[in-house]
Amino acid sequence: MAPQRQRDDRIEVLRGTLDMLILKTLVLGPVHGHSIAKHIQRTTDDLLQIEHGSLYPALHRLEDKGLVSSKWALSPERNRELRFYRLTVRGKRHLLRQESRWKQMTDAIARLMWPAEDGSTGS
Amino acid sequence: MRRLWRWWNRRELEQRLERELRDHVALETEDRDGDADAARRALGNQTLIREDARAAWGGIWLERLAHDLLIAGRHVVRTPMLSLAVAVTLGLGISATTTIYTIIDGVMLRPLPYEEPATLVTVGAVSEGFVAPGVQNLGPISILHFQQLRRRARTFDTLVAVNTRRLMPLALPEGEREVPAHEISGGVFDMLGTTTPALGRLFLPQEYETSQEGAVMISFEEWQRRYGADPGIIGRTIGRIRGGRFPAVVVGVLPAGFHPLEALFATGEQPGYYFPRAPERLSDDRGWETWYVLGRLKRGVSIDQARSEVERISADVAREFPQAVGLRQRNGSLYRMGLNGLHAQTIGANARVLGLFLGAAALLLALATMNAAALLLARSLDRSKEFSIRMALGAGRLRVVRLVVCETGFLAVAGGTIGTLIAYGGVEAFLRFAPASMPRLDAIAIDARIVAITAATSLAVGIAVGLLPALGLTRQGPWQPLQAHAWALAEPTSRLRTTLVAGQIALAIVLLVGAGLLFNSFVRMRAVDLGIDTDRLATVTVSYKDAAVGRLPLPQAWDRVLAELRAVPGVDAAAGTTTAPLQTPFWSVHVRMPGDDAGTRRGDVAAYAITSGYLDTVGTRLLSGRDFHDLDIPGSERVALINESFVRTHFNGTDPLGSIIRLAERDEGVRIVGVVENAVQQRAEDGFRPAVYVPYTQYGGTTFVVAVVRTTQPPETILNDLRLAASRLVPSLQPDARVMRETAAATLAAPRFRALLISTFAVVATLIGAVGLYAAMAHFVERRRRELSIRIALGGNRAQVLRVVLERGVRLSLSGLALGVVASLALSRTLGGFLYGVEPYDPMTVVAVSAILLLVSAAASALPARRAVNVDPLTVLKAE
Repeated sequence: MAPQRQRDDRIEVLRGTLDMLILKTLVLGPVHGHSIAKHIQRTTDDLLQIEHGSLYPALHRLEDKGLVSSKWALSPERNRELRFYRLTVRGKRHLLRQESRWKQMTDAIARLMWPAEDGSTGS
Repeated sequence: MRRLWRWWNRRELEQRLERELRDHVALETEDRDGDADAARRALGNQTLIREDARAAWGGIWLERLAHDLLIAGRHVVRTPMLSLAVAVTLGLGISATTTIYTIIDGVMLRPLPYEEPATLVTVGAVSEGFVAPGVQNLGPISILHFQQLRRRARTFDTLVAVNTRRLMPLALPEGEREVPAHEISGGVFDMLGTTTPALGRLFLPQEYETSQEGAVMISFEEWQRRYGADPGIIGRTIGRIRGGRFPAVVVGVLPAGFHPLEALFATGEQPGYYFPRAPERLSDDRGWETWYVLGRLKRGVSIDQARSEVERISADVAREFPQAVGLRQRNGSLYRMGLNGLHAQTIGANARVLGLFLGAAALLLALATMNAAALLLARSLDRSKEFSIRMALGAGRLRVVRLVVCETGFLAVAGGTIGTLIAYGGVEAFLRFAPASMPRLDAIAIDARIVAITAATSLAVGIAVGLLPALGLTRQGPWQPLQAHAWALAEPTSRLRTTLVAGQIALAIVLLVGAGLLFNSFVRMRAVDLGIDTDRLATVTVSYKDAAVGRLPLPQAWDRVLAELRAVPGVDAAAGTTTAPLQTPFWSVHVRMPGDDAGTRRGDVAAYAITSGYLDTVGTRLLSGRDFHDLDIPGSERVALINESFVRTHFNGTDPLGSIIRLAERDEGVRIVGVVENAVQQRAEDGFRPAVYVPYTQYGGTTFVVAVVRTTQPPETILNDLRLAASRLVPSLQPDARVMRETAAATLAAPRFRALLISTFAVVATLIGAVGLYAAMAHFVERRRRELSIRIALGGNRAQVLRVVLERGVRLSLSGLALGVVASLALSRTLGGFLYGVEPYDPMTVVAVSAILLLVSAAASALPARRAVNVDPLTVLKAE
């Protein structure tokens, strides 16, 4: 395990993006923690290696900030009672904001890294 | 808010998280066809997950702090000896600062217990003598001046006057006894905001006007002390008043702590009885100065403005009433009235003294802190392994530092508690031994605020003490201490420790030098030849203005009074003067030497009118020429005596006998017929100033005499008889009679106290320093045990080993000594005003102090050294 300090750095960088990914996952409806992890894994083709464990603190934090809410509910497919998380109105607004900021950032970076010869901003 | 709610529900949240994690592992296991281990690994470090989640819930810092405190507490308890040593050391340091701070708080910081104390002032006649920056040296004024002030002053809201020269015959079971009483003018109570007495009522307006009534009020403390707080005191006749003609009837008891003149007189001298008088009604054109004036300034008026107005008024009065006695005595045009804020007056010269004490206490605290830090540092060295393990397990450096600081915080708070307890005793001791010149002693007490300040100081000290070693020890990475031998690491922290010990010694030196200088001053002051013989000498001040005797011209009046006193059994000799030794000179002149013109400025010279037996009676020797004799009568040539200081200052050592000097610009001149030795005037430490004596037969300026009486038996026994004898002549006033020896001793009270206090600090400092040195040497021996054992095993001389240890100890002390001597030279200057007969850079004191310290250091190093010598090399080496 890396020294405390470096790990703290990494967590800081990832926290914002992880939050965004989680919120996005919840757009389509309430999901439980394990399912969120699996979903992220699947959709990114296992590219994003996130320890499953970091989800739960993130979820609790999001709930503390009022961006998600949670409750115990029966999951028919897994046949047990699990904690389901749901996006709140505030969470939705936050997600939209984060999305646009992320887009702006990536556009800016793309422009710097791969400037188009004719001045147009990529496809 | 939500955070607090979460923290409250933490139990619930923890359980939820547990369940979620379990569910996650279960689901993952299902997905991985039962491979539970892989599932768990996929989840990651659960401890960290829990930690992170807890961080999200907030309130974690509180939990961590509680946890740290628990661990810290365990550590402290596990090493009781060390913990006790540190706590006691810190306690001593903190007690010193708390005690002094309590005193400063009571004397200087607490506002006076009156309404709007900032606008209260006192007005008085200005004398020479430095009190404090911005504070004038004020004395009482005359009725004339008070009346004129009242009439002319525009900057005051109220002006009231108090006359202190009153004694009241009190009826006691064993007979009558005079007690001090104050006359107060109307308006005192309103001005100070005291409108409700503790019992009974205040004076009625008519009681101030008529001199028939015998109304008195008693102070709260007197009521408690003498009358046992008896509520039946109201209406009781307790003695006589107004010259004994009317019964003194108690109409009320004043509230506790009410002492209108506490600013001007020390706590111990507060009177128990007050009676009313309207000074405006008194006719006094003689300018006799016995009234103290208090006032309240109008809104928005500054002290300076009021001061200049008062000065102006005194100049006007001097011009319009040149015959007023007080003005003549004080040299007419040079007479000035001045003004001080009441609070500033109360503090007076004590600000400097208290500042000195606070400085010394701070040094002691610094020393104690250093000692504690050094003691803890040694233990921290031994715990470096523990710290490394903690850090290896993931505790951040900050966490470990916080742990250490918690421990030292514990110890410091324990020290603070001990210190506060000691401070209670310290304050008691101070109150008992404090010189009478310290005002507001009843306001000095340890209250909640001071306890809070002490607690804060303790915490600050604890953090400071813990921070240094903790930061030092956690600087390296976790692995080194676990591998290396502990003593190889000793270097950086050992240097820190050495510095601390040297620092302690330096501080101890500074305190010792200070104590030495003050002690020296005190001894010299005591040894000062006062120029008088204080053995069996008493003074009796008799003001005979209101009596039949007052109608006689001065020489006859004095003769009459002195004759009466001589008739008292036990009196060997009695003589008269205008001012006795150790009193404020009442009369001063502006001498003019032959050859001076109107522009020459010479300082004021104290002047005395004396009877012919005076010099013999007080024991001042005549050095040349002659004393006054019976041929020096009114009308014969005017003569004078001068003292040695006068000869040196104004005659430059030439023989003055026969010269004629003038005592004022328009004086015809007096011939010098004799030179007397220097005698103390007001204070021994002022040194001897020029003085001139004239015969009482050629002087007519007063209506009182200070009789100096030499007795055959101890003067205390006949004081009362002397008073009675005088009051037979002057029934309306009980005279002030004192024993000269007591008066002289009282002047030494303050220097003695200063020397005592600083010496106490110095002794405690030396002890702590010695303990610190001992501990450092013991630790040094402990660490070098291996090395020393090898030396001995290889055939080294035990004496050599002893030398190694002693050398180190001596080197340590010497460096501290050098530092301390330099520091004390720098700081000794601040002692300047308190020293007498010694320079701040007195080499003898420094040498003596250094010798003492080296001796103590040698002793402190000798013990561990001996232990080092007696070490058995085999046991040590086997243990490795």
